Amino acid sequence: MSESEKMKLIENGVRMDGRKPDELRPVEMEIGVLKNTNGSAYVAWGKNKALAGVYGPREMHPKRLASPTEATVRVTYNMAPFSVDDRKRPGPDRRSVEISKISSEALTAVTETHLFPNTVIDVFVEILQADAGTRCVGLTAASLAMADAGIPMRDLVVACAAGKAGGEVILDLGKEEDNFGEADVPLAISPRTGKVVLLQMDGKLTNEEFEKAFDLAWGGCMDVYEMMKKTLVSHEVSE
Amino acid sequence: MERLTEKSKRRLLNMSEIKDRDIVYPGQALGEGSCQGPVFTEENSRMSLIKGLARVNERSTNIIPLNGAYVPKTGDMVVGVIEHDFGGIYAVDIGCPYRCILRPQSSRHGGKGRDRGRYQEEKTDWKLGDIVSAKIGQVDELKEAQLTGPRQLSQGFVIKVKPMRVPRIIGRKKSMIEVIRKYSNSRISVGQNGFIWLKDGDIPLAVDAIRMVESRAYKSGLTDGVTEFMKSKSKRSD
Repeated sequence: MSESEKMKLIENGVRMDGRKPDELRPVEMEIGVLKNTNGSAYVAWGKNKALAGVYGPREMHPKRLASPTEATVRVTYNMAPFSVDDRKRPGPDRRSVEISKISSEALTAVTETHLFPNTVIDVFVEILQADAGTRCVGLTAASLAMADAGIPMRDLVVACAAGKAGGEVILDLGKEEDNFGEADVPLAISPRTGKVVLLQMDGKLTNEEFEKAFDLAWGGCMDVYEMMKKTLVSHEVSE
Repeated sequence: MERLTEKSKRRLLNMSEIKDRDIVYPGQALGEGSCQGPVFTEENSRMSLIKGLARVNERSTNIIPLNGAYVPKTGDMVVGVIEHDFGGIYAVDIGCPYRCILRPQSSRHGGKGRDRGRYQEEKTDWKLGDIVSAKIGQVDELKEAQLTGPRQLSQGFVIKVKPMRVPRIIGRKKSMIEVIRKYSNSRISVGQNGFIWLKDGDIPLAVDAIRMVESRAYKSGLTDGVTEFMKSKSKRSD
């Protein structure tokens, strides 16, 4: 990308959508939105819309996948065919299998799986509308849905991305910034313990840029964590 | 007993900011005082494992789960549905992640309490779909449960509620369920597993009342609210 094109993504410290480099997109959350699941959550993050539903702990099928010592957290991430500009071919693909796996590992890190041996906690994440950063939105929704389902967890999982676009390190990349930017660093943390449960990087960053992106993403995670806590606490009160 | 002020409660719980009837979330610090329920300890501080309702009294904080799976416990009364027949041994669906087995006549080894003398008349030929009320006998290391003292609940139907809200549906000294029984005139059997069997009377009214209790389980003064609701909807004059 040429220097003049880079300038379009961020100009005088203002991004294409009017945000500052360290500003999140507007986030809305709701839990208990699906009647037929044990727990559910809906997260609208900018133009992203994700719905998560949790079943279980329940009997694992196929049985050979059950662990005799702990529950398995099985995440199924799926993008709806209408979630993107061009129709997305339905069904699992390389990307959704990867995101399902990393989300499952991130949630397992905080879940008290030993309490339910031989079982599965099924988490279904549906991306209804995609606009960059869907794995972070999906993982945040999945964590809220698990808390809503009463799954014993030592902490919530909260995710947020940072990256580099227009030559500048920025927080929570939008679609154009993700597509035409230089790097993307999705981060998921366990905010109470300060442990990183997911860290990926797509693109190139210098050490200093990575440190800055990591710090920005961490700050974004902490902001989203506050919203998650408010959502969980206010739900039963307002019901 | 004199009610403690918020400040003294906090001092007793040593820094806990939790107030009575607060909703807590997974990982929330509850202070260093005594805590009951699904909590864990980290660096001398108690933390909640689940989203639940905090009940704070002068001695401790009790975390009451608002949602979650039913895990069988010896002595629990459950309502279930026969789902498999393994040639005289039955698997019963009680809505838990583990297998629940009914071996007819197993009560001859127990025969205590409600099972006393029952083994002679115990039903042995169950059909798939039969509704059964029984007690959880033995729970093994794999959490698989054996049922004892089965009793068939003929006809009627079963609704499912969140198992963690069953104590509220039954109420203190069965006060809530008695109100629902009285005004709906229904026969109701509540299982600890969240399966509720209903028969006769005004079943839609009973179901509405049960759903009302389920959705407002964390609120106080619910028995009065349900009584008012049942009075207004019921055909009974009293």
